[in-house]
Amino acid sequence: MEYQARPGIVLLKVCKAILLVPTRSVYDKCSVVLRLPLLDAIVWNAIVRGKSREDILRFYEGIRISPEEGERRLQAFTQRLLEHGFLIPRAENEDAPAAAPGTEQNSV
Amino acid sequence: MTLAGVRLHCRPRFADTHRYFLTNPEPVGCADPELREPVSIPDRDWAGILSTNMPDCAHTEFSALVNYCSDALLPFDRILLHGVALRWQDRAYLIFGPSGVGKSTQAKKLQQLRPGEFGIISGDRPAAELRQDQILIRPSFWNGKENWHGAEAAPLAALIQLIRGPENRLEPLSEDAAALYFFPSCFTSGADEATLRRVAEFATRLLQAVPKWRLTTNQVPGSTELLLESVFPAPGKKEAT
Repeated sequence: MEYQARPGIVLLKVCKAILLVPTRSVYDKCSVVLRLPLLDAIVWNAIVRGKSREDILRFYEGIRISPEEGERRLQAFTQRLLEHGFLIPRAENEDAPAAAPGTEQNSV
Repeated sequence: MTLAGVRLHCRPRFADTHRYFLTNPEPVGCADPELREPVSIPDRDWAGILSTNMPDCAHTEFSALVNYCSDALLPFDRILLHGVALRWQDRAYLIFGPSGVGKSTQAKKLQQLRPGEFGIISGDRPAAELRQDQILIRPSFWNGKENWHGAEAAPLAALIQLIRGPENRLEPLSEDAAALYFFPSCFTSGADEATLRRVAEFATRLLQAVPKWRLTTNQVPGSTELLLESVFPAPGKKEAT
């Protein structure tokens, strides 16, 4: 992955909804709360743990999602995360873990 | 100051915040026989917080103070919420939604359409308290632009999410669907993961405890009537579930 999770993001459960929430330290970089479907939450955790693109695509294959569909999903997901500041290029912060993305969003 | 029955020690540093407390020396309606030991709000680096994280917010210092007060209430099973807390038939109804969506307007219309039926617990930032058998909605001394406040707490009966949309519509809301919108209505500094997790647990308890509605509005009179029909039925009619 050329991107990594931004430090200071927390994956939370509110009822059964999975939310990606920035802590105050990153409000200036990302100020929305995202709601994630379960699969995206799993992928987010994989990104936080530094898993590679190939690892994530293998995960999709493992749950019977075709490589093409897995590629498409990962692309859409990372694009959404980037758009809202939840991902940063690896070069920007070499040694940092972080938090998650979503299909719905709301302001902090 | 005493907030939702908890005594807080706070040293606001900024002029506006200080002026706010000077003009509100006595918190409204917060007397509570269960007053506990004072809690200290840490003397934070407000300037740093405000300048680096919320540069565009006009009332940043006030917001930051409210957030830290809300964090301080968490160990007492209380939290500050953003919304209008109405009292109807001795129960509390919280209208929540983003600023400017029309929460106060809805409350005003309810009062106009059914004079004398609706009271106000807090016009802007009520406190919620988790109790063994109920959730109590309490006034705070932050009453919003209308300066609405009430003296009496009431058990929470329902949460009403207000959003703008192309047509008036009222629908029951699942707790999971409400979560994304309700969570940001819980004031918190968001200082760290542990705090956010506590807020998430609190929000979960609230959402699981009461019915939730989503009111989509494009025209206030029509949407208010939907609320009156289903959530606040006239005497003799059964409340929808």
